[in-house]
Amino acid sequence: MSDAEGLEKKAARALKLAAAFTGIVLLLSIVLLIKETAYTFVLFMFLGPPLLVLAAVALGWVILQELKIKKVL
Amino acid sequence: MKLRLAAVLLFLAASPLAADPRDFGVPQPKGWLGTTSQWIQGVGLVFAVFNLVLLVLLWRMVRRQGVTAASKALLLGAIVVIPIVVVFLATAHGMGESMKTEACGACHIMESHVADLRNPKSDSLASQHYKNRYIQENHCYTCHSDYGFAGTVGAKLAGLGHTWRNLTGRYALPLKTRVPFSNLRCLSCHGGAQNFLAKHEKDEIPNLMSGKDSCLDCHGPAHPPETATEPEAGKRAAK
Repeated sequence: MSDAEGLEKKAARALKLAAAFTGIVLLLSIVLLIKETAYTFVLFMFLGPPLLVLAAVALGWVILQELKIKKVL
Repeated sequence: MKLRLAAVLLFLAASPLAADPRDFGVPQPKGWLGTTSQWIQGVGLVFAVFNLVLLVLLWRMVRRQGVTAASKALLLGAIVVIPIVVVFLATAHGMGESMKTEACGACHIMESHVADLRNPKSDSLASQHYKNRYIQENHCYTCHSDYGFAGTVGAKLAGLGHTWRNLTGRYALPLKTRVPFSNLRCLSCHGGAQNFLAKHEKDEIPNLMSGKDSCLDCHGPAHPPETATEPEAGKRAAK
């Protein structure tokens, strides 16, 4: 397996992870927006923003790798 | 016309989920389109569902065609841009809802206090404020948080502790306030009011301002003492 293929697989995995994290954040948001309780709010506040940051970091990493492969960076 | 229809549909989407607590039968003003809180909830839900659908569609698209230029742009929207809007709206909604009396009364240990607030026979200080609408909304929060940004942050952090103690059952009876009740919370509304100035001697005011004397020394207790010991006390008294 070449380096480019390996990176492509890693990028696909990172994208899946980012999408999964975003999905969890959205589900937590929907639950909170439909029924706010102390527990849904605390769960959302502790998991929502960190997961969204992780998703953004994963996506950023994919973009960065692609730019490196294309030798833009 | 289309915009108005969309606005009405958006409001109707949220309205069954958030009945207006201020609706005491007073007619709504002309052109009523819901409260800001209902709009935040409605728009947040629409964005969240749209984002979820977009995410599913993108997932399928990427699996079938691989990552294309179009899917990359859409991924940026679905993973970063729209979720930020959703999280912002959900946070605003959560913050607003957690200030309501219903949110405080949702925990069993607080039921007694809220029942006393609503008890027509109660003459407790808190109940008088609630029943006469001296405070229009967020009654518990208004008296139990300091005003200003630091007050909000402090109240939210304290709320986190309350949630944890309620979840684990680690609270001690009788319930007591974390720190002595600050006069500034009373004075932020009453201070400077003609009624307050007329009923207090001039030399009393500096002691009240500095906290040397407590407002509750004369006007307390804010809640009937039994509500701090028995979660059922306020409910029993209301019957």
